[in-house]
Amino acid sequence: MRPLDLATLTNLVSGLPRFGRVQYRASVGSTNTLAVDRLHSDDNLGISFVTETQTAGRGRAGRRWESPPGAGIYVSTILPAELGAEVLPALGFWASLAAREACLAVAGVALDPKWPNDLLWEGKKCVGILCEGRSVGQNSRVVVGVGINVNRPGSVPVAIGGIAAWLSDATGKELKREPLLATLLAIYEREFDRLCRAPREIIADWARVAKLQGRLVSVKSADGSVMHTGTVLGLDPDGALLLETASGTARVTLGDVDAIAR
Amino acid sequence: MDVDKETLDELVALMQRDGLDRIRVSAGGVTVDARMTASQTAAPVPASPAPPVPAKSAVPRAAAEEAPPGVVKVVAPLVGVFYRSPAPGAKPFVEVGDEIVAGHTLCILEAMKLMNEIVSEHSGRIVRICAEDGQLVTLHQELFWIAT
Repeated sequence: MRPLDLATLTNLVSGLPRFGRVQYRASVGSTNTLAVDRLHSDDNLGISFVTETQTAGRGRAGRRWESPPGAGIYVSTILPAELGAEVLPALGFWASLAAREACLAVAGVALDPKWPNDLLWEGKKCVGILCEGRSVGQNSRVVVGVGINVNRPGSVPVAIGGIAAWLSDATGKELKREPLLATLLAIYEREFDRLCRAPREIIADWARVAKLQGRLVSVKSADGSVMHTGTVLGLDPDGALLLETASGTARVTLGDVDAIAR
Repeated sequence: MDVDKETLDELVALMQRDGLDRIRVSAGGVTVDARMTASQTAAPVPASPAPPVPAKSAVPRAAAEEAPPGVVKVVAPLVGVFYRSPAPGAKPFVEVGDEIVAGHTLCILEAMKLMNEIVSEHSGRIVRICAEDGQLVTLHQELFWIAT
């Protein structure tokens, strides 16, 4: 796998006033941890931390995010301004929309959104998102972590063999990662003001793209037990999934949601 | 009737206030049937290292106790699941009796997969922890009392 060409990447993002600063490391434990540890300093607002591989990449609930060297984009971005509490529920949806648009624009691959923010290719996970923040009073500083599986590695980690997809599975050819990452950051730049101004509009946009309404789904907890089964009514304004279940309407804010074939 | 978050919050608050186990509301072709049980609440059961506490035991906002002089309340800035520790099985961020300084992390609130640390604006001693690990807390619900 070819390493990221930093000169090319820097050139591509240099015109972005708020999201144009990238810090690169060949290897890191977790880009999210790196970024969260730097949230305290005003100087770090807007920086994206990028790496070739993570030795302790992670997702929600302590899950691992496998990060084979050179095969993906592993980037954690400290958003360039503090956010009000009302914006926070929209963050994952915002990042999901941005990653989907970037993959479509650069690779021509239309990924399927999975509530609340994963992106799938033929039912397998291609993009994972982990947002972490720190709130003091009503204001929060936030890290948006995105992992995109780009080029299928020669050796796929056993743990994800049957559940992960790479963009190259769809394109049939290896993709350059620099334009994809630069496009993602450019979309952040374009959409950041809208996130702050109209977070519920972002959630409504995501719902339109995801087309979940009417689908039969199950919601599982982290230990795999089923919490709900029902038909999707839609999303509420804060992004919670509304399900019609046998015992009434359920409002879901957590859990793994999987479609059930009818 | 719009089944939005405010409507559902109002229904949950009504159930908590009046000690109702179940409420069924129909309007405009939409029916909401919410139940409170020991194992499941009107909201989803959170994935938590500790057993979730039923919403019945949540502190109703209407019954909030006045804090004594010198004690400040830390309230939830958003709706989310309250976690007392950074990871399942890890040591809690704070315990009752702990002396903390401003900037200390008190808990995590998870909302839509955003893991959000709540940081204290005040130095002082933790005198009350008002929510249980894994509990879904509502906007402005009390989380901690700190004697400053």
